Amino acid sequence: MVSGAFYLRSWAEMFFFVLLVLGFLFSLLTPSAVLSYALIFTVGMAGGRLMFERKNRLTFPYYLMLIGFLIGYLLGAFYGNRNIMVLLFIIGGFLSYYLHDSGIIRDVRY
Amino acid sequence: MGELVDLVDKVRKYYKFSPAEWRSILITIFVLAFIIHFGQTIPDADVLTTTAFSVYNFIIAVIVVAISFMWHLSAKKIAALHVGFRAQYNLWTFGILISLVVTFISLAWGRPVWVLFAGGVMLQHLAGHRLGFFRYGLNYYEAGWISMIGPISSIVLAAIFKALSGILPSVFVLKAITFNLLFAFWNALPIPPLDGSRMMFGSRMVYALSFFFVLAAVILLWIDIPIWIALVGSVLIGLLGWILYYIFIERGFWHGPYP
Repeated sequence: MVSGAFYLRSWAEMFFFVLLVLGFLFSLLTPSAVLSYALIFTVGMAGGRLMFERKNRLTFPYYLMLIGFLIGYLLGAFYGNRNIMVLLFIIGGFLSYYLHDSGIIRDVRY
Repeated sequence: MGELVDLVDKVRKYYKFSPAEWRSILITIFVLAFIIHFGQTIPDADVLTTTAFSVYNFIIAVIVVAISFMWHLSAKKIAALHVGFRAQYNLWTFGILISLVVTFISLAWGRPVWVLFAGGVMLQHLAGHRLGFFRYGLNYYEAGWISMIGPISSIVLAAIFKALSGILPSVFVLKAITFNLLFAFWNALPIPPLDGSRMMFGSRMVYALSFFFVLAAVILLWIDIPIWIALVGSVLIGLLGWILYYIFIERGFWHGPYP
């Protein structure tokens, strides 16, 4: 039986795997190149928001999870160019980070 | 009468939107309009006609969302002022992005699903207006009460649009009714920072009543029955849900002074 300490130690890897599967499913669910690009750009923006939230704190596990999603998405991508998807993911992330960092988008704190 | 005069004075003084708030509101309106503008197509049309129809749909969607969202937000702001707080709207980026992701995935399957997560309000204390009778500081119950006004105002606006369905164009009215009903439903879910979460933290019993009311109103206003029957029916179903929630769930949590 797996102890609770295992989950405490390995949560990042577990989420990496969960997001990898999620990315794969998302990718399979979008049978169109344009929608695939739009979806990965949106998820990239969510990633940028997450990294902004983790600013000046531990970030590596979150990079790992985001990369997990990206790998899963690329594995399932049937339509569209995978290089463009990676590019859109990165652009979405940087754009979202910049918009939050410069105060153009102010998110809710709760 | 004194309270009304006080409220009017507070609205005159404090009913304002900061530039940051305007930015959040505009982003929300455009994203929600983008989500709801899908769904109607002209069969066998050429590219130009399809594009023009899409732009027309988007403009209609922006008008619908702008009216509905400002109504919803204004109701909450005025309710907050009544209780002695100033409400400021803030965007929930993850919510907006989740809504977009669901739209893209559902669009791929030809049937767009409207998930309308927008944002939440932050409450600030109007210290000068809360001296004397009030207990000082923000509390969960009042925050919940203010949040409850949001979904209920959307239901009321949907009922108004349904009443005006003979006067206004049908494309506009149908979109407005659907948007308001779904916006009320999604906002009533207990997910922070949506209104439902504040209501739930304020009082589980009041949340149960308002959630069942909203759920019933969404269904009854959607189907083709007279508005007054839909609203009275929603209140009755809300009360029934409230009692059932107490009997089957809440009583198990709470064994307080009443055995």
